[in-house]
Amino acid sequence: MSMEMGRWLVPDGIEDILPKEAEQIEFWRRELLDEFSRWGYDLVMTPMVEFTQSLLTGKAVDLQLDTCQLVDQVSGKMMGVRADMTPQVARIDAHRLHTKLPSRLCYAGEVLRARPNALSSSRSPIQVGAELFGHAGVQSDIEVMELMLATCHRIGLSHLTLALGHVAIYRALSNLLGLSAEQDAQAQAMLQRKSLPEWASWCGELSISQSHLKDALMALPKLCGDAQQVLLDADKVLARLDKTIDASLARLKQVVQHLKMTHEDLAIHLDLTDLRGFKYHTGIVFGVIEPSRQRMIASGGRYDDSGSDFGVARPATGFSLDLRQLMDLPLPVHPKKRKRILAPAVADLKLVALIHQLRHEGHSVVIGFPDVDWASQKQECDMELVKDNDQWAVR
Amino acid sequence: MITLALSKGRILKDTLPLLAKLGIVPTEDLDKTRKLIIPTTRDDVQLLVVRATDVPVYVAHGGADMGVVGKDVLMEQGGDNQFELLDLAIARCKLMVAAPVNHQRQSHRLRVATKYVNVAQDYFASKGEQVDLIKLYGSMELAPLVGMADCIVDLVDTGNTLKANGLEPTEHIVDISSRLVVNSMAYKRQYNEIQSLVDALADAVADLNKE
Repeated sequence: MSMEMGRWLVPDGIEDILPKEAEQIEFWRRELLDEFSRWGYDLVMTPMVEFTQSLLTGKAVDLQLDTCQLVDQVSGKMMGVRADMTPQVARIDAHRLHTKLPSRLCYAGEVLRARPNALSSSRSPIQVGAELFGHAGVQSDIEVMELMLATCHRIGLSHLTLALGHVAIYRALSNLLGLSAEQDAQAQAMLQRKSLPEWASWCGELSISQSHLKDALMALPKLCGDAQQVLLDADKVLARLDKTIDASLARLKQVVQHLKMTHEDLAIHLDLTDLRGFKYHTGIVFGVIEPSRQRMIASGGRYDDSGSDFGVARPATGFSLDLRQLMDLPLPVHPKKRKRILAPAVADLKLVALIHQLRHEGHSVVIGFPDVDWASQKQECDMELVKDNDQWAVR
Repeated sequence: MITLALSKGRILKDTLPLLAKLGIVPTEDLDKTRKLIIPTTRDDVQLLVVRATDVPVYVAHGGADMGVVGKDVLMEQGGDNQFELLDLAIARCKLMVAAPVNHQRQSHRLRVATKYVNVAQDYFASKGEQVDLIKLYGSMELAPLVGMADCIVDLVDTGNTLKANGLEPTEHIVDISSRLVVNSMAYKRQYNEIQSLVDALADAVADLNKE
């Protein structure tokens, strides 16, 4: 490839956003942050790069491979470009806000992923999200899920499916059975693929004396489907094995009951082996599946003890979405474009004052250059400023 | 509507009788038709017939809701964004290491010719062996015969091709059969529809194995 051709290329998975899409993305960024603000979430801005030791905290080990790293010339330490803003916001909550009360924070910004996501080629999502710190009860799970659903409705998405899971149930079962780290890793890999043939033979080979625990483990990946039905089925195999499991099921019941009350038509799919972000999350995980693209458009979950690496362990839950991905959806609501007015480049104080006033009122006024074809310039605008009887007027 | 992607060749031939038990029969002659999307006798099911290695790709990206594909392909490609719900117990064979009879290794590192480079890499790594992998797309048996490789990693069914070329299986890696895979988002969104098909297929597999 010649030098001239290569020069305008951008790295794989990185893209420019041109005016039409940029306007849409910015419109939705503002709309979503406004919506979060109406729910009491305060905006924070986090840095593009941080020392990897604060970016890649104990809970966020999955992020390691996703983070582009470089050496800080000043300190000699490793820095990472943020691949996810959530740990940064958790750091702010734990270390900068010094509050014992719940705090509600939201954020919007571009992140960089070292590896492209398997399904989309983008490596630089524009992450917009909201996180609630300092409350461990079911009410905060519900609040964040309600906010996620409200956000989706605000965007105009419909016929959504809510995908629910709870990572503590598998974790508790794994602890009860005393699975080794290696067995645990094998199990997680199979469960994430929901590889039922392998799961059955793997469980069969485990030496577990208590048959009821073995049955529970065997049945776990099949506990998926309509949330209310799954919870009924789960009661038969999982009830009274363990306090954590009982509490997790009870919490799921509360969440499902609440959401069924507030969103009658919402389809809720519960999968007890949905282990998304398993190393990071500690409780209920959730996401919204959009039908036209069959993708998870927004997702999140509970990650208690989030700030422990920064000295203050706080319960936390939150969600985020990628604005770039939003652009590929058939969004029914479009932002209204401002009217664009063409004005001649004339030294006339009355004209200058009028232009100033129009811009102040929210119109967009573009100065036409005398040496550029006027008709073409007019074509780009909706209206024109013309002089009539010594008075400037919009036509 | 549920779209089912099938692998061309042996898997397709073995899957059709299973589907027939569910009342799913292609309405076109698969050997003759030029259509790429094939309707069936059931209004709610249509078929795609694609290359085996493309099946997990169609399913991952939602081009198909479900697919039938060999475990070998899934192991090699990873199978993102899909669930592996059922062993269809068809197109059974073994993934094996094979070498020329009485073969003496020629180089200090084992040279392995295969189309399953990821699986071979993992297998030899798990044995603590560092190997040189040579990626081929077909006729693996040829590589040791022309001195290009010490051994091959390939599917073995009857073993006749190996024998005819003076090779013998030396190590058994894993048993292979065809699996039913389902796009994970489709599974969550259309759970009842898809699960009833999965259950019916599981019954059909059980019936067929009884016969």
